[in-house]
Amino acid sequence: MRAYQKLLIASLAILLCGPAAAQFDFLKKALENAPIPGKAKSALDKTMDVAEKTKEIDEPKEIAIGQEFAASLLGAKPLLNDPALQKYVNTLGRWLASQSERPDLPWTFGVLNDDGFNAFATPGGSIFVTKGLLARMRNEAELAGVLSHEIGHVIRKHYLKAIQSNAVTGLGVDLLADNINKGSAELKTFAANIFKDVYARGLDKDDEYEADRVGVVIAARAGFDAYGLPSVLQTLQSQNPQDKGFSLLFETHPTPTDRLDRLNRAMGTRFESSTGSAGKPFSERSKEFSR
Amino acid sequence: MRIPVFFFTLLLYVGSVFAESATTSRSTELQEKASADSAVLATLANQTKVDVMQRNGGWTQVKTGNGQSGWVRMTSLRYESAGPSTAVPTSGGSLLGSLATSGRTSNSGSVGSGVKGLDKEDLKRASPNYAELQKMQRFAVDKNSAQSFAQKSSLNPTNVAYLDQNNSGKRENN
Repeated sequence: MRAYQKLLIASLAILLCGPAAAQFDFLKKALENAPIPGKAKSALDKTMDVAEKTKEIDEPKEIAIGQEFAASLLGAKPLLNDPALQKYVNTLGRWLASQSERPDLPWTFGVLNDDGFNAFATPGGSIFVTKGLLARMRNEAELAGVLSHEIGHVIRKHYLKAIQSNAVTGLGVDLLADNINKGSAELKTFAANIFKDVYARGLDKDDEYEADRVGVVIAARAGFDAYGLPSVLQTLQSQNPQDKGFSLLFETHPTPTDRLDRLNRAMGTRFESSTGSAGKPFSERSKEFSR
Repeated sequence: MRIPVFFFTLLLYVGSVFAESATTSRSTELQEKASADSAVLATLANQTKVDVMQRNGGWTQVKTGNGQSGWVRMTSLRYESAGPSTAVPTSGGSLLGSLATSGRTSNSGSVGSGVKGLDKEDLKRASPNYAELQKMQRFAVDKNSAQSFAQKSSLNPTNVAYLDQNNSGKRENN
């Protein structure tokens, strides 16, 4: 990796910790003062443009960034040691993802060993649910609804959008994307810092509503009752947002009531007479996947 | 050989069925079937307490205090503001419930989960764990296995268009 790129990435990594406006001026100064050859200068100008308009990140880069984020999340909580359950959730998840317009992403699903109630997605198709969430699923259709909501975030590239729409992280993400496969330590640190920023803040509310709308459709396409996700939202509605098992979810999402209201309006009567399945009991799945 | 008891297998042993309680959040028609054009049996006033029997699509079967049962739209119900102790294991189908309820009093109303979940501090402290990522990737399943799983499970794929923002049901690229 070239020196100017290293400088930019290092600056960005440091700057992620301070107020945004100040960061931006400082970054510009740092770049102006850096000894940059002509060719590199134009590459830098191109990079600066990313802050103004979002740039398309191609699929291999999307996947590489997502895997850095997935590694970070697994650094926060490891997988639950239950191979049968991991295999089951991967199989169900892959079936759901096959109903999307991106069936060939390297879809991978993981159950985190966490008693809280949450689910996450990273760009490129890594999806996580917590043990606490699984424990509160009434049936397979509810789990399908949750996984499909996360699949919605992936296929609509919500996390890439979140990174790019932030002035500071957006500026660096192009360089990150271009160089992530080279595995430099600075880039990995940079990716880890973006992860902390984006996943603690959560996504745009509208992206959550969109993932709800996509989620019910994906679940229905896969043969499930479309009301699995609304049913989970209804459970969340009765939940105390201060409960420590639910607080991160409530901090990073619109209220369950708002989500239910919008989703209900979007669904209308379209699924009223659908014959979707509630799925098989978890007891049967356990036997099936423990063989 | 020692056979570890995994979380998944613990799901097998929770089968007891309790009714969940809910309250109507508006005046609601109690209907004979889970369908808009079925007969109306009664009108439930706002804030009527009911026991929840089952859900079918956008409808929930309930039983009123005087023993009358029928179906209401699921969105007309609010579940008791309770911890997962009532929201989860009481639903009958939650086979994972045995772990969810451990350490909690069953059915005792507003009990929090009492557990701390992954939070912002955990995210901020996290450093990437690539070994765990590799482990996760080993559980990945290919499209064909997923498809045969669906066939065995009678999960029949259906053609459903995305819901666009204006709810015109326009189809997107698929």
